[in-house]
Amino acid sequence: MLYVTLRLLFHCNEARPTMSGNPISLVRFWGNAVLVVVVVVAIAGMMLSPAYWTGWPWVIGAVAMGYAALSLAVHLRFPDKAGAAWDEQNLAAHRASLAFGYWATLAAFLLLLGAVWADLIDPGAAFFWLSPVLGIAPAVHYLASVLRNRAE
Amino acid sequence: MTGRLVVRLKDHRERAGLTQAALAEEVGVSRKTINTIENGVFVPSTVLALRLAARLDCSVQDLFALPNT
Repeated sequence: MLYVTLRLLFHCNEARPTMSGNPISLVRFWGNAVLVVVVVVAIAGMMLSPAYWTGWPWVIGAVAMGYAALSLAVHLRFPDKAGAAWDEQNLAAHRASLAFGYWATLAAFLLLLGAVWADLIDPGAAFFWLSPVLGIAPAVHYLASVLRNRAE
Repeated sequence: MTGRLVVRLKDHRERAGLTQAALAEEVGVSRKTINTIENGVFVPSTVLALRLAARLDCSVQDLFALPNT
């Protein structure tokens, strides 16, 4: 479904987002997209049946490490493409995504702190739930930048 | 053109017979960056503006100007 949505978005007119031909940008986009999907599925799975399976952190970690390894590999394989993939607009989008991640995590921390004080959640569980926000907030922001044509 | 900057990059690029992708390749940025500069979405750094002007054989003022100047 995500693939179909993205295809529809990418193959429209010039004002719509277009898929980059740069392999580093492609890996960055799809790496972020897969990471976001896996974390969302993990959150949904843990919320629906917390006791059913506890291996989600390992899956998220494996996906993140796989993305990092793949990103390193394409940077080493296509060093001449790195400059365009990390040009000033993409760097600006990257910095904005990190700033968004900081504020999202701070907001989630305050929300969870309130929930802990109100005895709605265990402190250990609150700390656990903070990590998905920290992990995917920058990726979500970067994907939004790409879909808004502000990065690739 | 944005409210704060008039951009004439597209005119000069087309006069030079370059596509967005070709110009992007020559100045070392992504095609999308050239596209967003032309649309007034992204304002380039001084260094990139100078590189674009040098490649298109014009001055930075030919490519970018403040409104009402």
